[in-house]
Amino acid sequence: MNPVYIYDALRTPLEAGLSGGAYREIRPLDLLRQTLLVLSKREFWRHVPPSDFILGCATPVGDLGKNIARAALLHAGMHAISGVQLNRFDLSGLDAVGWAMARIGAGMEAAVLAGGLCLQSSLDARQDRGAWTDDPDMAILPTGFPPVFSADLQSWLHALDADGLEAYAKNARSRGQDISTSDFSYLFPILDDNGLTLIDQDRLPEASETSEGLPLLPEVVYQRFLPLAQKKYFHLEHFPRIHAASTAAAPADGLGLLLLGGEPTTAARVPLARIRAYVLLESAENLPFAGMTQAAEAALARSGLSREQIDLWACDEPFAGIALAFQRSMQLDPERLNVSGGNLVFGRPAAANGSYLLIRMLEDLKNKQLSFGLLALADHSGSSGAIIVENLG
Amino acid sequence: MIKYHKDTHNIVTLTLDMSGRPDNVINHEIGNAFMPVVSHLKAEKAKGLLKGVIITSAKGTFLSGGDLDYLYQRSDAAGIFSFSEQLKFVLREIERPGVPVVAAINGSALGIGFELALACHYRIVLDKPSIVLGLPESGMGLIPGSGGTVRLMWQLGIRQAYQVLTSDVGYTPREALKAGLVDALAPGQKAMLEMAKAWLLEQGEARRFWDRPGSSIPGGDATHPENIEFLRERSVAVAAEKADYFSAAQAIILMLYEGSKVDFDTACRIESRYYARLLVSQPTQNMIKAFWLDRKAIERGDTRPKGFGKFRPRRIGIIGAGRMGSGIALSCLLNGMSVVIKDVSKLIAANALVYVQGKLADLEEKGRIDAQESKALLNRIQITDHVRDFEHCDIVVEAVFENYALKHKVTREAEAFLDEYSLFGSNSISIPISTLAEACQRPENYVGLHFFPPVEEVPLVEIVKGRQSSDESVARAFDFVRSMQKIPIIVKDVWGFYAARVQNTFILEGITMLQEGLSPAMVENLGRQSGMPRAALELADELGLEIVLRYEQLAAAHYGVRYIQHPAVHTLNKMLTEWNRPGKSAKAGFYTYQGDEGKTLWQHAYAGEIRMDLAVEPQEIFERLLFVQVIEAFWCLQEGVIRTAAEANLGSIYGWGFPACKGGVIQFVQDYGIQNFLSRCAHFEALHGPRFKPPRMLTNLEG
Repeated sequence: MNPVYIYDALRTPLEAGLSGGAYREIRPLDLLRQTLLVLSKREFWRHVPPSDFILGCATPVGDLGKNIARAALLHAGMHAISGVQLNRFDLSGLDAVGWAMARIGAGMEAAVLAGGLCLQSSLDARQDRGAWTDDPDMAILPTGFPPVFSADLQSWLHALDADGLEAYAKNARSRGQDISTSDFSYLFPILDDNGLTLIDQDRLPEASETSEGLPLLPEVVYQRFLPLAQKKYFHLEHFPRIHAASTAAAPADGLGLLLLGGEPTTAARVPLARIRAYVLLESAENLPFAGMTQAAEAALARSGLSREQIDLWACDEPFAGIALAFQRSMQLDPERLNVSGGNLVFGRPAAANGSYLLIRMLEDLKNKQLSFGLLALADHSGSSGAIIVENLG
Repeated sequence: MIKYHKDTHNIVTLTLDMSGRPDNVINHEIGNAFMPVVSHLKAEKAKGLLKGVIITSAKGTFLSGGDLDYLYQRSDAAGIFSFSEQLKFVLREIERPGVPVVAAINGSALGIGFELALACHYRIVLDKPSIVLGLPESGMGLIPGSGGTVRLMWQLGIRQAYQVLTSDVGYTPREALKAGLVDALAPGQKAMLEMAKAWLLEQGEARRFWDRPGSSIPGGDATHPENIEFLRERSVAVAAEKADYFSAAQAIILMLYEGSKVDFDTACRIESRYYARLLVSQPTQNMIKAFWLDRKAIERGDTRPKGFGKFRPRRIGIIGAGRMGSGIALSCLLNGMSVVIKDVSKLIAANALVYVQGKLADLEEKGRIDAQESKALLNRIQITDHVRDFEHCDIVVEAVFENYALKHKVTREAEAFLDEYSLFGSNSISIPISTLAEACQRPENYVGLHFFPPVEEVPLVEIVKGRQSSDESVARAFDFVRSMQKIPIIVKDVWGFYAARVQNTFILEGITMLQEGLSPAMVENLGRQSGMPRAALELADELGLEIVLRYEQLAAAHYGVRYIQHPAVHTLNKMLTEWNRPGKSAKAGFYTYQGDEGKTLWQHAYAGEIRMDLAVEPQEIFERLLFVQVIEAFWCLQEGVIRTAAEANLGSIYGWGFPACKGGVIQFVQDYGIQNFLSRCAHFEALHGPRFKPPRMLTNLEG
């Protein structure tokens, strides 16, 4: 496969919570047009315009239904560029990058725009129905375990306790407070048609005072699924309902796009980074949010890099227990994981999470002048992914 | 077989009256009987000579379900599919042409019998609590096969239909009206026919709403979020509580999910496919064997000692107003008997009255009985503190504490007031009946009557034949148990009789696994997943470890030098003496108990360490846990502890919850294949010792 590089990136501010705000005041079509136009005016696009746009949405219904990518291109007057919508659940944004990489690496395209868009505040994921969500036979598989059930179960499997989770979350929340003072950022504001700002910086989740400490997993749901978990884990008698609002990521809206291309041909085309490995796999545990370790190991093996060569690590933080289990099983120095904050700080833009965290990783590598970064991601279907990038900026 | 009568209003009454049998049965030959009538009706309708049809029966029942003898041991899915389609065709021919049809239900209608009623446009039923209606197929691992799932779904909506389809108990007419299964109740036969005629005269063309364009299922189809949530929740619950096989409940869930999203006739064909899939499956065949063939064999008296006249007990004496005595009293009352219940004081005896009152109130609530009946039943129970009130009793059942001296005392007292024909039954669990009988005046009239708690729910009673119990007494005990509508199994007077003795092997095997280093949670999880309703350690705690050990000691005494000590005895001894954990009663056994319900497994390394890394093949564990029971049951057969396969099978399912999908302990071997079973025994014997050596009776089966 030919080497694949990242040439440009753009992320919009994250807005946590489901009650919505800025992202509800703009049509997805307009939001995408705006960002497409911003990117198209920049240097790299002008030299090698992308021939395809791969957008991961995960909830292809409502205004994101059918093929929102191609619709947005037409809306932006870019009828010469193809577009496709991709659903790989929470890995959509990351896997869009993976698809782009495959097409460029195989020599099919010179440049591809890829990323993810998440609009949870206005588009209810429950609208996206199918056998996956509806069929009674799908409900009894481990992948049908409710996410927080799986997170509590995995915390038990990794012998994590509530104090450990709280400590992790507290530490995580202490980061990212200096993000606004960062001297480098791919962050772009969202404007309305008048040029007025809708949102120009991340809006962090409000710390909920009341529900803290209460288990997120209702007792009745726990009891309902426990016998099924015992069919998978024979040593399991009980596990504590360990996650609370303070140790779970808030949902968020956001958009992250990356412009990928092949080997640089002219001096003008200086890539930001090179993708050293990308892996998407189905976890051996076959549980929601399992498998980040497996994906990270596989990506390391594919890249030929050793664990020690990775300067910065980032991982999905849907729940503190999931991230802490990753940190423990990869034996990572906590100071090198999610250095400028992760989903527990900013919220979690499900379908955009991969592209969003990847852009944040590029920022961190550049700020700290480091070489290699590894990002691992998981989703509620049991899939996981990992990507390794080399900073060239 | 179908009587045809037409009146001056052009209303035809079809009276089902099958010759040569006490009831009407709808079966694979029904098409032959019904189709000529249906085509005649069609011709009449074309000539304008038909206003409507009433279907009723000349028998005590309306129509009995199915033809399970015909369906047993069928393995051709194609044949079953077309059988189901043929039945559906007949019912569709009644439902669809537009002639209004009323089912005048004069007696019980279950299964296919009730499906015929569902295919009519209007259902009137006699208001008699003895009438039972419903679709109990799921209890036998089946679903209705004549469109019943589809009609119920259209009539009641997905969630209500699920409740009816998975309920294996029937509905009384009033319950059926409340549940929307019938349209009207009639006070008597004549009134019912008049109501039917009146309804018919008001009708023009009759079409069920599902046969009209644009109609939809009440409450929506399976794309409605609430229905999806419901079906998925049920799916999880069903998967959580059963062993891994395709069950009737699962088929019903999928049928409602798929069938609600297509048209009526397509849904019917989907039903036929699930019907065929279930019917040819081994678990369903095993359940038909147990709940139909084995049950029928016992109910018709195959196992009852021959040559004694039928005993019709009317007045029952009960000693002990505890949980067992009260339960026995309730079961007797509900089956038409009168009860005298005695305890040391009237105040204590009155506990039984309170218990019975509570249960009757529940039944009233459910519409099973009315206030008047409830009162009449309460009038038939007498509480007393003196044995002289037993004077006119046909049988006295003793249900006092498990204490030899006490049982002996109450027996002697009661006997003084009984005549020489009166039967005496002792609800002993572990004291030998022969020993108890030794001290009584008429040991030949003395038998064990081992009820299982809760008495009103468990349909099984062990009749223990002591050394001196006469065959006549056993026959009379048999009739007594049958008159309570329970299943009697006749067992020999050995330790634990039959049920507890075999169940104990399951418990001991679980304890043995602890010693091998399996984690307690694993023993319990795999125990439940093997299909047993309760796990081994949980059961041990509830029985009390002393009892578990005592059964084994009694076995040792029984076999003498031939006894080989069970490996679990080691741990039992340690639990009882060294670790002081005798079971639930002491709040410490294999579990530690907090409060009423809370319990957690005692984290103890029984084998020095818990080997979490132990490579365990679940199937291997399931089989070990089931095999020990099967082998012990064969020992029981060989030693005459139990005498027939039918009793052994039903005893195992009802007595201690051996998986019904296996058809019981004896059918298990048929299901597994005798060759395979014996070679698997050899494998287990090599690994785990001589308790897996099959008794001669099993090896003989091979030839």
